[in-house]
Amino acid sequence: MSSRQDKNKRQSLPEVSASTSDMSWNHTGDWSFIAPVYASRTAPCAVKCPLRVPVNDYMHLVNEGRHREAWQILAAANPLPSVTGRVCYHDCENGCNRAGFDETLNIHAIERFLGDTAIEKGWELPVPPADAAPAPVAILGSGPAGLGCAYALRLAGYPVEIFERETSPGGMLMVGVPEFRMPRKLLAAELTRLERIGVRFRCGEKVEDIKSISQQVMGVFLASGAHGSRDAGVAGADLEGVHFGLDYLKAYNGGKPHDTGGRVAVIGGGNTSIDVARASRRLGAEVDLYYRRTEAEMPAHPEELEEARAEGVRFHFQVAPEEIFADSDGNGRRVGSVRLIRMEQGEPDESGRARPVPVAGSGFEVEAATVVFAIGEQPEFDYLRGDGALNGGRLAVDAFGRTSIPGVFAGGDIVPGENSVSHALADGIAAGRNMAAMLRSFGPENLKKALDEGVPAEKINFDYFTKAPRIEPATSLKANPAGTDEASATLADAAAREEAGRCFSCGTCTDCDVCLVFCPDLAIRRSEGSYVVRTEYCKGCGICAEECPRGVISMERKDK
Amino acid sequence: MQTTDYTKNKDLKTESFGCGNLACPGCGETIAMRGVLNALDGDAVIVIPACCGSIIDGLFPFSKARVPVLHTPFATAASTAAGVLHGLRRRGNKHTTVVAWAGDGGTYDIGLQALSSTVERNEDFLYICYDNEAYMNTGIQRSSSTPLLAWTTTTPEGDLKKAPKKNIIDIMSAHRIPYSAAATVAYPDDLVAKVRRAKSTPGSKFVNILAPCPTGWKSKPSLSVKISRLAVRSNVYPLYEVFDGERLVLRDNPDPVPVGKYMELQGRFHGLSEQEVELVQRHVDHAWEQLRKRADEII
Amino acid sequence: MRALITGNEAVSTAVRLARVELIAAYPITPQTSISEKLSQYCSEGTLDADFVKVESEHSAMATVIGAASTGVRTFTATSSQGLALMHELLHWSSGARLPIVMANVNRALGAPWNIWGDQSDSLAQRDTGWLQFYCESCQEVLDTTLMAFAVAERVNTPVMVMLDGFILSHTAEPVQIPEPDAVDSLLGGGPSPPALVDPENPRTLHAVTSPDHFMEFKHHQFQAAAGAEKVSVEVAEEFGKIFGRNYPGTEEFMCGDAETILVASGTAAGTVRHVVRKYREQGKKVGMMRVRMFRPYPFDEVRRIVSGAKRVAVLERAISPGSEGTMAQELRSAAYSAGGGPQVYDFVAGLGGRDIVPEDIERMLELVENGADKLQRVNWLGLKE
Repeated sequence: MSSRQDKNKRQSLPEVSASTSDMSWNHTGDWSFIAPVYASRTAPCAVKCPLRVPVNDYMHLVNEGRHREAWQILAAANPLPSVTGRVCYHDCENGCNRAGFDETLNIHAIERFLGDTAIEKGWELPVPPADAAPAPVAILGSGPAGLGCAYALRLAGYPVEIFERETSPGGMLMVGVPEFRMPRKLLAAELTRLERIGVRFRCGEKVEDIKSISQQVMGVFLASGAHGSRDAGVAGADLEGVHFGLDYLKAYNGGKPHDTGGRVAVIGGGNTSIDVARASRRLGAEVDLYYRRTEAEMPAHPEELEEARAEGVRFHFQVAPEEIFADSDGNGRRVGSVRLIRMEQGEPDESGRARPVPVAGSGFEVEAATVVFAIGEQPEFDYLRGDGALNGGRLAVDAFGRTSIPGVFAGGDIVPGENSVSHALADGIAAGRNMAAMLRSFGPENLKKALDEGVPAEKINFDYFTKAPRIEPATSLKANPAGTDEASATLADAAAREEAGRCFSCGTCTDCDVCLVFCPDLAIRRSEGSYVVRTEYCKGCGICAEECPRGVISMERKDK
Repeated sequence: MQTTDYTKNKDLKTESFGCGNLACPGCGETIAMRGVLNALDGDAVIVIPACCGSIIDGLFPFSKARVPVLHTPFATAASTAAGVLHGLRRRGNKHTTVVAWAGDGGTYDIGLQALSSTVERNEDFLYICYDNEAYMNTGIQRSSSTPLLAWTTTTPEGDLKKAPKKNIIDIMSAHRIPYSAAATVAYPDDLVAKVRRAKSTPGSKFVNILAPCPTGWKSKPSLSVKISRLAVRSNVYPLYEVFDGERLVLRDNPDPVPVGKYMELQGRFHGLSEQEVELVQRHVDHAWEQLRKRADEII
Repeated sequence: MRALITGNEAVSTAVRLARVELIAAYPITPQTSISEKLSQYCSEGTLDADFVKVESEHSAMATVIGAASTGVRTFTATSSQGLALMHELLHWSSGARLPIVMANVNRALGAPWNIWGDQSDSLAQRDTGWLQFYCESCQEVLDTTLMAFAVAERVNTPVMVMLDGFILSHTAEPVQIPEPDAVDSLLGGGPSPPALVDPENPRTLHAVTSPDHFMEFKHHQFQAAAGAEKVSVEVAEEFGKIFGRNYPGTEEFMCGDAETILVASGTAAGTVRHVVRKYREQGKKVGMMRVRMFRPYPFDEVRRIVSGAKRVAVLERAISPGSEGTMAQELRSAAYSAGGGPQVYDFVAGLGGRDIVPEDIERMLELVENGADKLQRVNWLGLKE
C-alpha cells in the first residue's frame, strides 16, 4: 500500500473496518523469479520408435473408440501400420514408462489393430496436393525404405516412381517375410492404398546403371536392400539341398518351396534363420537350428524365437558347421549329414562380443537332408558402377540420407545402421522429407530439429494412475502349427481400447486440471482448451510442475 | 487417484477466492480454502479467528475473499460462527453455510472449549480446521496437533515434541455430532465430497484438513501436495468419516508406504534416528490398526 | 402496569420489551436469574429470541458479536469474573462497532472468592470502549436497559448497564412496566443495527489493519463514544417524553449552594442522599452528585456541578491498587481541567458487599470538613481495626 493510495483512502475510511476491495492489486508473482511453463514433451515410446510415431497422441482416441482418428495420426507417421504392427520389433515398448510401474503398454498390438481395421474399413490416406514438379523422383526398391520415401514425397506433392526388379512390390516384406508372419493380402492392401495416393510401381524393371535414369528424374533414392548372400565357407556347400536363407524363403514365399527331404539344419541366428526354420516346419520337416553363439547373443527377436520353439524348432547354441557330407544312400549329390563342432566364448571381437572359438575335439555329426545358411545378407549395388563412398561395406550417407553422389539419397539395409523394417521405413520417410524440403529450396539446417530424450519415468507422477495388466491378444498358435495361418492374433476392439487407456500420454497435456486445482494462488487458468499461467500471481511454488501427471510442466525463469 | 472435475467449466472469475493472497508459496491453507469454497458454490460466510488465514486473506482495505468474512479473536471461531448462524437465520437466510475456519491452534488448543460447546449444542454450521500442525502464523510454535518428534521453535533440537498429535476427530465424534471427517488437500475430490456431505447434513459438522506448511514443516513448496498425499499413503493421516459419532467409514490404504517416506521430505523431522522413525512407525501402525478395527465400512 | 420485581427481573423485562433477537449468556451469581427469566420468556414464547446457552462468558460475547454483525439486536448479561473473562471481546466488540447491550450485575473480583457487590468488575473495563451506566433502583435498571438499546444503535457502540449485586439484583421494588407499544416507539424508530455480515453484499470485516489505517478507526470509535453523551441525553429526553421519567447523565441533589459535595454511584447513592437530607435539615451546605453515565464521562457536566463547592468527597465501591479510586481520578480530571476547583477526597467503602451505612457517610463528611489534615490520598471507611 503506497502512501499515495493511503491518502486517497483516508478521506473515505468507513466507520467500521469493513474491507470491500479485492486483493487483485497484489501481484504475488513479484515474490518469485520462477513460474511454471507448459511444454508438450516427447513421450519415450516416440523417441524409441525409429519412425517417431506419436504413440501417446492416438492412444486416448483408441481408448475412446475413435479409431479412424487414431489411425490417421498413426498413418501420418507410418503408412504401413498393418505391416509394422506385425514385423516391427516395437522398440517403442522398451521406452514405455509403464515398465517402471507395472507392465509396458502393448503398443504394437494396438498399432496392428488399427492397421487391420483401416484395411477392413477401407480408410484412405490423405489425398496429396497436386504434383509439384514436372519430373518424378526415382526410387530403387519397393521395400519399406523405398515405400517410406515414396510416401513422404507423395505427401509433399512430388511424383514418384519405384523401380522393383521383382514382379510384385514389397521388397523384403514380399520375398523375405513368410506368409504366416505377414499375410500377403494385408501387405497388398497397404501397398495398393499407397498406389491410390499416386505411388507408381514399375515392377520387373531392374536398373542396371543408375545413370540411365538419373538424368530424367529430379532425384534418386536408393533402397535396394540387402539381398546378397554371404559365402558359407564350409566344404560341401555346393551339394544339392544346401541353400542360402533368403533364396530359400523367396522360393517358399513364392509358393514353390524347395524339397526339404524331411530334415532341415538351419545355420545362423538372425531373423531370417528363424523364418527359414518356421517355414521348414510348415513344410513338414524336422528342424534343427545351429547358432555359433549363445542364446542371449542371438540377433533374432526373442518373441520370434519363442514362437519358433513353440512350433517345434529345436535350437542348438554354440555350435557351428565344419563340413557337409553327401547322402551315402542316394546319388551322392544330396546332403546327407553335417559335421558340427561345439564353440566356446573367446576374447571379444571388434563388435565387443565374445568371439566364438571351436572346442577342440568336440566335433559331431548330425543327419540332414537340407542345410540352409542364414548367416546374413549384404547389399549389392552394381548399378552404381563403382560410384559412391562406402562405409563398412555399405553406402555412406550423411544425416540427411545423401550419398556422396549429388542428388542421390539412400536408406534402408544398404546404408549402415540397424536392419529392421521400421528403421528402413524411417530412413525412407526421413530421406523423402529431406528430399522434398530440399527440392523446395529449404536450407537443410531447418531440418535439424533434434528430438529430446523423451520424458523420463521420474517425471511421470505415478500417483495419478491406476495399475492394470498389459493386455495381449489371444494366441492362435494351437490351431495348426504346420499350417500357414497367421501365428498370432490381432487385439479385439474392446481389448485395444482398454489397452490404449493404459497409455500415460507422457509429455502431453490432457487438460486434466491437476495444475488448476492445486494452484494455491489461482495463477493458472483455463484458456482455449489449455492453460495459461498468470505469472503476475504465480509465487513459483512449483506444485503444478511437481504434481503434473505427465511431465508437461517445468519451472523456468520468468525473464526467459 | 483420479483427478477432480469440480472446477470444470468454472471460470476463474466465478470462484469465491480471488488472486493476490498473502500466503507463503506452496501454502496448503489456500488450496484447502479454495476447495471448500468451491464445494460450497460460494454460498458461505467465513468466520476466521487468529491464524494464518487472518493474514492470507489480505490487509484492510483488501480481501481475496468474495464471500463475507468475519475476523474474530483467537478462541472464538465456533462461538462467533454460532452467533452469525443465528443472526443469518433470523434474518431469513436459510441457505448460506456458516463456516468457522481455524488453524490447529485455534481448534485443538485455545478454541477447543468454544468448539466443544458449539457442537454439543449441535449448531447447524461447518467447522473447518486447516491443520498445519503448529502455530505457523506466530513462527512455528508447537500446538497439541504437532506430531510426535517434530521440531518446532518451542520443541527445539534436544527437546522434540514428546506427545503424539491429539486426535481431534475422536474428540468431535465423542460429541456425537452428525458428521466429522478427516481430509487433506492432495485428495480434492474427497475433500469436496466431504464438504458437500457436510453442507447437506443438518447440525454441527467438523472437517479437519491436513494442510502442509512449507515454512513450518521445512519442506519444498512444490511438495505440499505430495507430502499431503504421502501422509495418507503412509497412514500417518488416514482419511475417514464418522457419522453421528458412531458409524466410521475409512478409506483403505492397502499398500502403505513407510512413514520415513513421508518424514524425509520435511525438515522438521530431519536428524531423527532410525529408532525414532521406527517409534513413529509403531505409533502410526497401531493407530491404523485401531482405526480399521473400529471401522464399520472400509472403502 | 406496576409490579414488584427485582433488579434482575427488571433487566429481563426490558430485554423482552426491546424485542431482542439473540441472547447468549452463561450463568454466574448474581446475574443468573436474568438468564433464567429470559430462558423462560423464550420458552413460553413471550420473547421471540434465540437464546444460545454457551459454555463461558467469552463465548457469550463472541456469539453476540457474531449475531450483532448480521444486524440482529443482541443481549448478554454477566458479573465479575465473567466480565473479566470477556475482557478481550469487550475491546473487540466496541472496535467492531456493534450495538450490543449487556447487563453487568456488579460483584467483587477474587481472590478471595466473593459473590457480593462492588464495582471493581465494571470499572476495570472502563477503557474497553463500552458505554457504562450505573443504576440506583429497579425502575432505573429497566428504563436504562431500554435506553441502552437506543443509544447503542444510534452510535454503533456497545452499552453496559450496571446494577449492584444482590442490593439491587435480588431486591424487589415496585416498578412501572412500560407498555410494549411505547417501547416500540422509542426503539422502533431508531436506525436498525447495520448488517455488516451479509451474503448479498460480501465484505471482509476487521482484517489486519496496518499503521496506515488503524488510528483512523480508533479515532472514529473514540468520536462515537464521545458523541454518545449528547445522544444519551437526547434519548433520555425522548424517554422522558414518552414515559414521564427523566434520567440526566449526572444526578445533582442539593448541589446548588453546597460547600461539600458527596459523590456516589449505584445504590450507595440512596444512603448518601439520606444523609445529605439529614445534614441539610441541620443547615449544613451539603449536596450529592450521582454518577449515572460513567462512559462517556460527562466532563463538562461534572465540572459545572462541582466547581462551586469547596470540597468534594468521592465514595468508591472499588479500588485501583497503587493509585486512587477510579471515580476520584475521573472527577479530579474533570474538576481541575479548567484550573482551580474544589479539594477532592477519596474514600473506599462497601467492598465485596459490605454494607455502606449512614454512619460511614457521616464519618466521611466529618473527616473532610473537620479532619482533612488527617486524610490520606485514599481513605478506607468501615475497615475493622
